[in-house]
Amino acid sequence: MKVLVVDDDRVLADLVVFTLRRAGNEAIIANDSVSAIRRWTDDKPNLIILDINLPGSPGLEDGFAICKHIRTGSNTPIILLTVRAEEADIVRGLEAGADDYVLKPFSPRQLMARVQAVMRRFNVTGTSHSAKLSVDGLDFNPKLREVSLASGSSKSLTPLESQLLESLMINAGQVLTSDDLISDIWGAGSGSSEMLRQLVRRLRSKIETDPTNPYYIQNLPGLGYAFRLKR
Amino acid sequence: MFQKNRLRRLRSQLVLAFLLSSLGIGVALGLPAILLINRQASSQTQLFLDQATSTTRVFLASEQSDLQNLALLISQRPTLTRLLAEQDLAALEGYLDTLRDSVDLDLILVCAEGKEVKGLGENISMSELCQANAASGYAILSSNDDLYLHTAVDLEASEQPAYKVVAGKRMSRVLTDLQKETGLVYFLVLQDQVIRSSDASINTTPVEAAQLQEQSNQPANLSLERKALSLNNHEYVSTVLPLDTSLNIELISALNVDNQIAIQQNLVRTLTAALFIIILIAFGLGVWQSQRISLPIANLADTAVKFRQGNLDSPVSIQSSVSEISQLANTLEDARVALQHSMEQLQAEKTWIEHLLNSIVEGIFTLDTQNRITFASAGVGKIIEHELEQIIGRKVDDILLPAEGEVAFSGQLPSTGQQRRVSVKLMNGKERLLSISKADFVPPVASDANRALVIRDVSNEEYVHRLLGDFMANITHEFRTPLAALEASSELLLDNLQNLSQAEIKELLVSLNLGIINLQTLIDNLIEAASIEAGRFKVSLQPVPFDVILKEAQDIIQPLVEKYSLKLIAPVVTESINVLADRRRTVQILVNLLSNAIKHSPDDGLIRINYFIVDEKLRVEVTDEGGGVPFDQRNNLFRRFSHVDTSNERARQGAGLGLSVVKAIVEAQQGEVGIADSPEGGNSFWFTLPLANEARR
Repeated sequence: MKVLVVDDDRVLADLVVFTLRRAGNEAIIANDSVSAIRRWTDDKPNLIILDINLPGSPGLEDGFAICKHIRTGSNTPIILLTVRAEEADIVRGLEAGADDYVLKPFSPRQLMARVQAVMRRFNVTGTSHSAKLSVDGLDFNPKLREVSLASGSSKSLTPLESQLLESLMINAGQVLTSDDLISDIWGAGSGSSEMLRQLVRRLRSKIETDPTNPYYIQNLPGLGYAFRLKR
Repeated sequence: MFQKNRLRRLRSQLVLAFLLSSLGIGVALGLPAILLINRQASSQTQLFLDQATSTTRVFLASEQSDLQNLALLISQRPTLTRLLAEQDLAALEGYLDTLRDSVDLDLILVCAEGKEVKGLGENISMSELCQANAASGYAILSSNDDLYLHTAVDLEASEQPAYKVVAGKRMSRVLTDLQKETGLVYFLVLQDQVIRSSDASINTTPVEAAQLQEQSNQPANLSLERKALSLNNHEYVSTVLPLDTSLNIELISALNVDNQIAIQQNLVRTLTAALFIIILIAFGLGVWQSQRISLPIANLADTAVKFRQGNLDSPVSIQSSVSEISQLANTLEDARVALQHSMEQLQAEKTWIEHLLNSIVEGIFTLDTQNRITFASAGVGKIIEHELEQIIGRKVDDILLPAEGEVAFSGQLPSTGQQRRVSVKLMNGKERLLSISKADFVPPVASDANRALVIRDVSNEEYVHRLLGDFMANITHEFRTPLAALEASSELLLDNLQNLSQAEIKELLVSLNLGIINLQTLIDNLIEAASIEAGRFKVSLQPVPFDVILKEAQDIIQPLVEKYSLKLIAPVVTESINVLADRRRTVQILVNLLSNAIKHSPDDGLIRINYFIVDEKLRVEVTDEGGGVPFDQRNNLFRRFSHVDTSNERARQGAGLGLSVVKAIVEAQQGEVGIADSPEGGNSFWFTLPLANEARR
């Protein structure tokens, strides 16, 4: 697997590369935004580990901008690795399309676990349900991560979105607690309810006709979420 | 309230009342008096007339008795008897004429029955008189149109044939005598025709005669003027005395009342004039009195109006002899003094409160129900940077405009007793953060203000607060990067120690080392910044060889330079240069400038250190090939917490500490610091150090 490490701190970049290489992966480094985009285009990595505070250039001021730029045409998994621990930054990162968010300082062991989790989700070929799911006019193909709406149009989902929709649709009509969903999506010990909230928002914007008044994904404050809850 | 048109001035009301009452009194006194005078005059005249009538009666009776006596006397004359006996009528006639003249009679007649009758005197028919049965009475003789008063006396019965002697007198003469006696004017009326008048100058027409008769029967209490009749330009009042009802002879006696009427008229005139004068005097008195009463009251009213207008300065000085008005004026004056005192007290309290309000830094203002500003303290003016006079009465939302994306100010007020921070835009465009607390209150007067707001400009507090927050966040980030290097490299070493090659172990140890160096630099800067902030910053200056400082800084920074694949060119110091400096801190200056250069250098970039001796000072330059600092931001560069606002996020990572620490240390060592453009592009930071000894080139 080829991983692109984007960080302007050479010491840390080298340490991440060291870790990845020891796990048998190929790793390439970019120290600023421009070279990061160049590397992504030229070397077509399978995964990007991206710092947020980077020497940038107009249009690519920081990691968020790079993430958004990449997301316009690619589903390549992105893990943000940053010192910015504020909730707002995490939300912004997930909104920009990142698949996971790892804080500095980090444990190389934990970083590798998150890399593997992201890759597993990305490469999932219908681990439990390879069949198409269909509820109430919404058709979802977990293998292709593609959803067809009642209106006839179809949308492509990120691995995280796909995982969330699959969990919800399998259990359609039942309430799933936030904790259940978080461990389903990010694995035990990572993710947070805020990250889940952002993910739900992103998914709603793709499948709901009116995201402010959702039809499919319902929120039950204090309990969790449900897909077409029967009342 | 009375309608306006019903209100009359007190003065005119009083004058009118006086006028009406004096008129009333005049009429009440004058009319009966005039009536009384009239009645009195009338009855007096009547009384006089009645007396004159009785006098007339008596006069006529005595006249008749005189005639009787005369007739008797004549009849007893011996000559008469002798002549009668002799039947010498001619002699009788002569005798009778003589006799008539001597006794002043108009008529003497001797009648003899069946024989010649000899009448003497006027040529009248005797037979009528002789045939009359009555002994005495009035007679009209055909030969004359006069009326006669006559009396007949029979001669002594012994004589045969019997004779009768008649004596008579003309009524015109009798009436003249009467007028002389009583002073009245007499009219003799025969069968309703006036035939004789006692005063020849008064001629009466038949109409006037009828009026005379009619008027004589009018009631006694009739007014003199109404009763009187005008004859010959004189006024008369008359009465009728019947003389002989069978012949229908009446006597009208008329009294001239010109004088009485004149006197009566004079009396009435005098009375009227007197009454008029009394009324005039009463009216004048009334006017004067009403002036006395109404003028002070009008003055009091004017004074009261002044009070209402708030003019309490001029004292109430109203002189009046009316005790109630005087008392009212005194009470008003007392009230004025008390009121003025209270007003002054209130004013003083108000001034004190205004001083208090205006000396408070916080702005205090009140709003009415339409959110208009009704009061604003001086603090408000300072906060909103605007003249107070121009904001009173204006809507608060026009003064404190909403900041970007905010709703109107009046929609953001906190609930009563609470505080709230609201972003606003001032009229001059500046943005401010205000802390607002609100109180609802019911104003003592009117409903002009019902909310009081206290505003405090917390923009600076907020700015400092944010700055501190930013600083803390930046420092935290700053620590995380070297810590991440420590954690990652140490964990990798621990986990994989068994199967790592020597080269790999060294690489990890270098990372570990670099993390520690970065951490060390960071902590050094933080400690210096803290002591600068606390005012405890001090340098200990000692002569130090410059090459020692240079070497030390180079040793610290070299692993970093290598890690970043950069090239550091430092001069070889061959000469002995001692600078007067704090050694550890001067090394810190260089390390800061060098790590700053490393951060801004492109890949494979070159970093140079140069030194010169200028004006007894050592000038050291650190030049890189980075992007350079924009000219307008160079002044702020050495300020604490400042960052060059470029798109370069890494430039922020210095937390603005490094260069500010550099500046503080350099200046504490009596040196200067600055930035210049490098001839090769990039930045050239320089600083100077004082030399400790004679320098050689």
